[in-house]
Amino acid sequence: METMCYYIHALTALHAGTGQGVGVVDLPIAREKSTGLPIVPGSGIKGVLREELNPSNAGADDLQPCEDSDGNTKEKEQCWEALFGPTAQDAEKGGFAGALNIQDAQLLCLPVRSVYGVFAWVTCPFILERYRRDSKQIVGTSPDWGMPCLEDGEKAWVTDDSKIDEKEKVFLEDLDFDVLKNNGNVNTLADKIAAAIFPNDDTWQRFFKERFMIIPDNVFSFLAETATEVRARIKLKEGTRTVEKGALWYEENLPAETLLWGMIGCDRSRSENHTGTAKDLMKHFQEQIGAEKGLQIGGNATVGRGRVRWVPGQLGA
Amino acid sequence: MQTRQQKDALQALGDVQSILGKGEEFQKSYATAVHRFPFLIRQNGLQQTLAFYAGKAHAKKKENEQDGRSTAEGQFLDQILKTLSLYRADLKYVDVLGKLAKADLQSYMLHTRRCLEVAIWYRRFVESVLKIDATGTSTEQTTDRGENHDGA
Repeated sequence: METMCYYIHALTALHAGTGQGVGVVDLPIAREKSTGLPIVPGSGIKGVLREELNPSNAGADDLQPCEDSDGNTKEKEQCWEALFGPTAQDAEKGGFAGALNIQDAQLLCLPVRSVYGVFAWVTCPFILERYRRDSKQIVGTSPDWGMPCLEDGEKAWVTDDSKIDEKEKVFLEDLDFDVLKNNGNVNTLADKIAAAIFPNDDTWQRFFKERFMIIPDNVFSFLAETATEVRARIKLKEGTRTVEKGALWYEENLPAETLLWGMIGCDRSRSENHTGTAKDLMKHFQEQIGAEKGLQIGGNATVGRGRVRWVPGQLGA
Repeated sequence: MQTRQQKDALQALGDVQSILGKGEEFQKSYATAVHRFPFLIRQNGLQQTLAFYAGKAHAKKKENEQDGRSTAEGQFLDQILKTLSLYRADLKYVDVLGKLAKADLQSYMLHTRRCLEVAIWYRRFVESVLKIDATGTSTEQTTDRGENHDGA
């Protein structure tokens, strides 16, 4: 199986929900059962990418056909079906699974309000270890960056270029941290992640490095649970413009500027009409998707949620 | 052995049932306090939210009464504070809040999580026992919160 990674950079609040909840908020976001950390389910991302590359859509003229393993050029629709699987209608005639395996996007950095630098891109050793594990799977060897040591407590790492600290302190939400600096591993990590999420954009790479921060796992887990955005929504009665009875509900969102990463696997084609290998199909997918894309992911698009930068990338590059 | 959820549900059920005998206005104020509580914690943090409720209770207190424990906000605050290990019935709110302010980060995070967990059960029982929803109206003729709103 061929693998690649992708990043999601939320440009607005992002609601990848699970429907009605019975917890603190009525419409919570999806979270990983084992860790409680927010995710964007792969199914939602697959649907969006499938539509983005649908040759039947307007504006799809740039999409190219591909060749199968025998060197035969295939119609755009056949390549698209080999990647994503047939449409529901075509599946009735003879279904098969698409070659792509789009996995959940996992939280990489959570933006948290900061007294200095407006906000910090916060992560923790547990998440970085997972990120490194995925890097190892893709690249085959352990990445060339080390993990900074951080014990549980009230200390946090920032980069040497940090703009979020003042007098050796960082003030996040209502949490104050003592700053640790001058660590080559922290600077290298910030460089690598910045280059992967903001390729060819020096300004945003600099913004990221100035705001990158590693805090203890326990505190991060607490922030990932309590520092997501909760918005109250109401429904107005037509005519009177007063709140309809019972129509007050709370929605949870990942805040704008959240960064996530995920993996995509690609297998050989399972279509009778296409004999592409995993390598051919992944190459075709990467060519079609091109560089970064502006997409809408998750629910509540009509009220401005879910505008993201979707960036195909390299882990541990 | 019982799960934390079982214990929380049992506590919340008894506390909400104890409000049934109070007047309609009291029940409505109590229900509003309950419904807003977890949202306020998520927006403002635990310390701020508890101080806000203590302030509300104090503002509405009867003459010669300490802290306003008999008000709807005071009753709920008392009930929710019971879940925190630093609570003692003979302490004034300001003393409990002072102890919370001195707690270390790990304890503060735990207190926040516990209050959020328990608050969910109070919300559920305010809806099913008092039958009052988040807008302060009867649940008997209203739609479910948020249903059919989770789409584009």
